[in-house]
Amino acid sequence: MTTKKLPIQSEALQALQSQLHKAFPRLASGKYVHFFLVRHSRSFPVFQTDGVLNTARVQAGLQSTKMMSRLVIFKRKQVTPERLMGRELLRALGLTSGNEGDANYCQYNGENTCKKCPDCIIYGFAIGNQGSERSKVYSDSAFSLTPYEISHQSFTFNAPSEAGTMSEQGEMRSSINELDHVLPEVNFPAVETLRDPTWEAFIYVLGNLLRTKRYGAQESRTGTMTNHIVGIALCDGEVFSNLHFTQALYDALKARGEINGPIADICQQASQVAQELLTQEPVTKQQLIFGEALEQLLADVTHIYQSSDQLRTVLETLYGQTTTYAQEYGALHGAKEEGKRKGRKRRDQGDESDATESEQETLF
Amino acid sequence: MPIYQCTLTLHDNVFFATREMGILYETEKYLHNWALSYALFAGIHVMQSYRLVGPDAQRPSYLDPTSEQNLLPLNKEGIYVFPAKPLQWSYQVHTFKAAQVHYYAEAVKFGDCTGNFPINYGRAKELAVGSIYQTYILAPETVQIPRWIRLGKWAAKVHVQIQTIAEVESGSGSYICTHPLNPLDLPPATRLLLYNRIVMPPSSLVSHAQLEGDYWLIEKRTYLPRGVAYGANYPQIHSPTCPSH
Repeated sequence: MTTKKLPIQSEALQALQSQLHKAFPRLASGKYVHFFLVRHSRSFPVFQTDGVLNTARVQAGLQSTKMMSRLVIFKRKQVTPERLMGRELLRALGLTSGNEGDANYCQYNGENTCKKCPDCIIYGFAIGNQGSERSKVYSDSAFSLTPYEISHQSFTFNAPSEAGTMSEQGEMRSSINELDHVLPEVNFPAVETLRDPTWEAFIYVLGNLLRTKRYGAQESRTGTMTNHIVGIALCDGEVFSNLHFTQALYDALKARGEINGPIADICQQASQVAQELLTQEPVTKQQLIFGEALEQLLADVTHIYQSSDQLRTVLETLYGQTTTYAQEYGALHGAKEEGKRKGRKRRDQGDESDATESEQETLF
Repeated sequence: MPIYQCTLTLHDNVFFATREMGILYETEKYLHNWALSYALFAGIHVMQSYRLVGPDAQRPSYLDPTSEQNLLPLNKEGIYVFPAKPLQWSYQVHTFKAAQVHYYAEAVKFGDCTGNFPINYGRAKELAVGSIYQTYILAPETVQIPRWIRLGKWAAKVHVQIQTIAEVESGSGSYICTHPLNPLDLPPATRLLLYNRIVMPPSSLVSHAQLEGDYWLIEKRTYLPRGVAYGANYPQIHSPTCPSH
């Protein structure tokens, strides 16, 4: 494989080459890569769906049972900017195109989705009757470590005239409003799960996590966040939720006295908490990457992203894998699939004639 | 075979469209047992394919033996999951949209839209974080039940806690089952006399049903029908004109 030529220092990253799939499987299997991270706001992000910030009332910790309101980043608000970052990269390398009419044109969220590029195969798509691809990236809503009350602030904003005034030729402008923002340095512990990846898909998704810097609304002006990866685990099943992780971290930090300390302390504590929680999970752990091994792995992945040659090698290999998958099982399956579908259709028609009207009514 | 009492705690909002009223999509407060069965056992005991194409992607395949992702293999393994009953629940309503790449997308109609409203926007009435459910699972001791599952349209994480029920008596006759049931999975010999209907796709459930037939009495409190299996009361599966022919 071409990727073996890459100068990889990290043992953990090398070990993953033999533990992950060589090709994307058709059926879901029990290979899960969990990324444990702390999403840390660096400016004033806005996560809202109905004019106010999204919140949820939940238990503060696992031990501290008092209820508190927490800010919430819905799962789609986490994954969307990340996959868009990946798509941008694929276009930059010329693997896909954003121009309609090109052979490798891939439309986002539309019927002209290419159905074969890494983004389509890894993050999934659904196009009405043309079918769908299940996402291999699973996320979970993230909850703020600190309560809503001390983690947000309301700001008034306006759109003044070019002269910087709110009145123009004697008339007042009405463009003034107020909006709640998340404060800087608010932490959202999170687990992002990647199922059945190849080694290259692992690099791609991890790269998207490391490279995505803006989340939420008004992202061209605010919304800067940093994803601090605190651990990676390769398991044969799902592990704890974001809420569980947040509550356990809340307890651990409370025991030390400071819930919202410096980010370095929180990351260190989050890493420990994740390792402790993993010991309670009834799953087999093929590889746990924490501490120094993780630092080395992240340095290697960062190095790949810094070197355009290495990055091109990895992503071209990945593009080859997703295209092969599409040829074998997906959209490019072609004539073979068409024949199978026709066969099924005939059987289906047989089905319907066998079912009585009343049965159909009871069932659906 | 052991009966497990299973407590489900939502760690994220769970959403599935039980009722659609204009752009409001409402989630029923009961969890369907077929959905739970996939959530608990897909990938290991039930096939789960990443790619769904054409008619297969649109067609329900719960009890269709010709379909890859049907539930019937669970019958062979002696696994059955009952629908889940809400013990404590609340709702949250959220707006969602299916946008294009640009952050701001105009409300446009796409797909086969017959109404006069944009279908790329909607309001989802979701079951909120912290809601608690209870259900029962029949499974051989060798079957491992996962601690975390994903449920609903948004694949929300749900915490699963299992407790083996120590005291189970069996009997036959008339009884009242307070737990929700799927009438298609009841043994054909069991008669459903009176019930409240919970209208939801893919098949309606019943609650507080009065039944006649074989039962289990759990911890001297709860009656559950004995002999349940996926599609046990759905004649098409057992008829000679079943789709596999």
